[in-house]
Amino acid sequence: MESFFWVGLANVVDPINIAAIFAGALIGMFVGAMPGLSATMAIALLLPLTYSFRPETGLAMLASLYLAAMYGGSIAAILLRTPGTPAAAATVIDGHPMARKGQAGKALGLSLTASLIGGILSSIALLTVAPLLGKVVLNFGPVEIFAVAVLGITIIGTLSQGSTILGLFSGALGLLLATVGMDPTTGTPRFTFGVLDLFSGINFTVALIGLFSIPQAVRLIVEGNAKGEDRVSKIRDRMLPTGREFVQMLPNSIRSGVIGIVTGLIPGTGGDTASWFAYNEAKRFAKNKADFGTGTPAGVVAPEAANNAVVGGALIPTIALGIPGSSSTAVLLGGLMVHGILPGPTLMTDYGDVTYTLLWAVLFANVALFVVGIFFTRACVAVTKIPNRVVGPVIVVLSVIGAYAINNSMFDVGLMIAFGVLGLVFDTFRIPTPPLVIGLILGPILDMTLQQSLLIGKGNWMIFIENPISATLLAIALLSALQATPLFGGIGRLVKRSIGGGRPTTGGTE
Amino acid sequence: MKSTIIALALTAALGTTALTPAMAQDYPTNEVKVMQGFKAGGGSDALAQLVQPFLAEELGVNFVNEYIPGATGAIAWTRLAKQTKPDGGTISITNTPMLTTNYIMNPSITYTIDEITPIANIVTDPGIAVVAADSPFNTFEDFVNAAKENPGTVTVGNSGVGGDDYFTSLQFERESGVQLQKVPFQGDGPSWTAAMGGKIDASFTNVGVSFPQIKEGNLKALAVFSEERLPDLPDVPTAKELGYDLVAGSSRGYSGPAGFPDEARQELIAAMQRVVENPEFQKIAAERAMNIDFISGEDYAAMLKKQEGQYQEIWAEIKDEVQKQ
Amino acid sequence: MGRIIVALAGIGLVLFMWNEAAGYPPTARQLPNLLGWVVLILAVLAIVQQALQWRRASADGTLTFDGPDWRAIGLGGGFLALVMVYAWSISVVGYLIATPVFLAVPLLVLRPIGLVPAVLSIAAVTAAVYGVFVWFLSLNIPLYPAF
Repeated sequence: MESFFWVGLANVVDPINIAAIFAGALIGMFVGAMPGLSATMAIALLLPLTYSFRPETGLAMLASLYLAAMYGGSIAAILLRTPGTPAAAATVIDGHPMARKGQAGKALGLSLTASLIGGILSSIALLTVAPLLGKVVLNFGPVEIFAVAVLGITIIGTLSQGSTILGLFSGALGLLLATVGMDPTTGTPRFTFGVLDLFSGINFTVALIGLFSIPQAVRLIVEGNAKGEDRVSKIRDRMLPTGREFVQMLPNSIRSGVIGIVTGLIPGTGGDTASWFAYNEAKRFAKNKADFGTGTPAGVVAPEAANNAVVGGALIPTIALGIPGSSSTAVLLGGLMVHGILPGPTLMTDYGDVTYTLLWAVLFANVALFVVGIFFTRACVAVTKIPNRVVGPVIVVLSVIGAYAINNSMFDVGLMIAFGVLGLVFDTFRIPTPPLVIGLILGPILDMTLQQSLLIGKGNWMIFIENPISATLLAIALLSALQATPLFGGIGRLVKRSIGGGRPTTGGTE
Repeated sequence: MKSTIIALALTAALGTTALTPAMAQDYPTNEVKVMQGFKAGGGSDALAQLVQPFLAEELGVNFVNEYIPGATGAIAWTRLAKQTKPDGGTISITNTPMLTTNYIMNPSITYTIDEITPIANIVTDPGIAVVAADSPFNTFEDFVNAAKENPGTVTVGNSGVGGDDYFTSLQFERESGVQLQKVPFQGDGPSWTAAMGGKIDASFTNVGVSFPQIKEGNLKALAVFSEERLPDLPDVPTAKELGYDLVAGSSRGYSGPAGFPDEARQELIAAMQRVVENPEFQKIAAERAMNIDFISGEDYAAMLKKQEGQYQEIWAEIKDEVQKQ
Repeated sequence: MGRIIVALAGIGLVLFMWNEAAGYPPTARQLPNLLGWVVLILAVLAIVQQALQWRRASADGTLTFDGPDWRAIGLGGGFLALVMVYAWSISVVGYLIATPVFLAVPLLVLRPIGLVPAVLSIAAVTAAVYGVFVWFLSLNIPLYPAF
């Protein structure tokens, strides 16, 4: 094992592999920045191109692409209020307000730096404790993942600041809409009205594009540019954080990075979930809670450190056991098979040289990401110079084509616009959208694992309490729901009643 | 074609070459679109990535993948059956048993195998029953006896309702008269992982996906659902030898729309035949744990028809029970 | 007012989904039914909260209803309608016609930039999206008129 460690390092510094890592970072950043193009899609498309490479070169490029896409997503999220990837949805909340305040460059610099910290943390975890942590994955079955989903739902409370009832309403609606599609146990198509495109449920990425981008495009058209107003961003604002700012963001980044690694490790949850968990914790630990949502740096740092840390986290079970931790790593595993390497426990032994090269490549990819990111981002910030009424229609074109590209489906374009209208209505009446997003992310996980757990427990709800991991997680969820009550309780009695109404999602365990 | 150019552009700097398809021969179209009912990177894609480069060379045409995931492949197959011109320019990867169970189980899925032209099956991944390494079940009999003693309590994972493993569980229940507690997962990976972690008692899954774990001793294989013992797992009995008439697995091949030009079909079959006989192809397939099972033309059609009948029968029997859950 | 309409729409959706779910197997309808209750209760609470707010405001004499901003509604609604027409038109006249036309409408009506930059932007955006999605990713989107 020890020798593979150094063989891997020696492999990575080969100029060809370094070049592959940089190429991957550039492609990944671009793909991530485009709504509708995902890292998974890009990896799958580039996989055939890597056949002619040596396995470690191809894998290094794809791993770098995967990592860079996580950062790329935040570019569109911050500049256009349209998350380029689902994992960047949480970045919109504080990132876009920062851009509106003229701090687009700073927000992107924070995102890039946080991505670097999160990515490096998870690479270190990969290189050192992957074999140990890999086994942890086996402890997460349906019962435990159900508890994780419930814990995630409590984030809705945090995001509903100021209007708890409306926030919970939005979250519950998201969960309800997530039940559209085939039921896991009986295969009954629910609320599909015979439309095949709905059998697999509402495509989350499609909904997300609509929810954020359409209202933004409409807003840009309506507002236009006020007369004599300076452009949204002073391009001259400093991009990278100062030394002091860096030290300030460090605890937040590390905490979020750890959250990202753990979330990546758990099967079925990835960057989209991790970024919300990290955002929630950043707010819990922050002194200036009221600033969240108005463009506070910590609100950008947390999700971005977390979603890059997910990459390493998701690779841990992939490397240690051959179990993909996310859909992107599943495609990466396919990349291994192409080169005749069967994913499985032998990755660490028989193919240790390739595997360790990949792990080192992830670490180096962070550096490549940072270097490429500085130049790429500077170019992107130029977007803020363009008049609003030009940007609006362009966002629509990207969203329409992006939504189509996901499943090659015109139906998805319609679905995207429908969610766009919903998002516009919510924005107009100041009903928070993020809880709806959480509901849509966690709904399918909740539904699947609830049914599985009840099948395993033969219909007995006690299964959630008897299991130590799930019991602990559910207890934390309950505490966190209660803790959120006084913090956002400005509305008084009604809030307490609403929490009573908002809990039946966890109420299943009582 | 276009991505080939990109490939060249990207790889030129790194000093590598990309595949250049041979000159077009007499296939009716220069480009064949391959519709896949699943996401890029899944099992269908693995087949496409394995077969199509060889096929492109044999036929001198380009193969372009189009991913149309959703409704366990039904969106792509409905498009194949109802909206595709039978000019040889579009085919689809067809996966069994989903190709038939989709419309057997869901009245709103309206295509049938009579509306497609089966071309050839390429691979079959046999079914297998696995348990955790520290499971109390050491033989398939242990497992069956436990299920007999306490009906409906032994939990068995499958890759999802309507998938091959789900129907394998149903067929096994019918054959043996025992009742299992079937737990659906989203795909094979989560199903065998849950068995490995002891979250469920056993998993009915496929050999190709679980073999590395069996070899490493993380999973115990109790029985395979193939006609004969597998060369890679000589100690694992088949369900057939143990007295259960159960042969099951998941197969992937190619089909075209109804009315597919016969010449094009024959040409594809002949090219596929040459591909599966190519030693280089066989070597790569073996490396990727793909079990070649070449069944072409009318034989493939007959195989699909036979499966359709079997699944219709099983589903008619258990439909009401499932609806009561 | 708008919030009440959204809440009522939410209640309507729940009733509709309950009605649909009634025919599903118990396992399949379990979660939708449960979540339906949650949405229903929260919607009612939202309405009550809004009503209380109005009562308090009217007691203070501060109850005011902002008249709708018709210009914003017209502009936003018009643009939204244009977006829908655009999405629909792709399958009829193809991407290469639908996209420049869609981009041209707001640029001509609202005139945020001059004519020459407008034409250049339209060409650049249409070409860039074509380059990435159609040329590079071989996306199978209708490009030309279907007739």
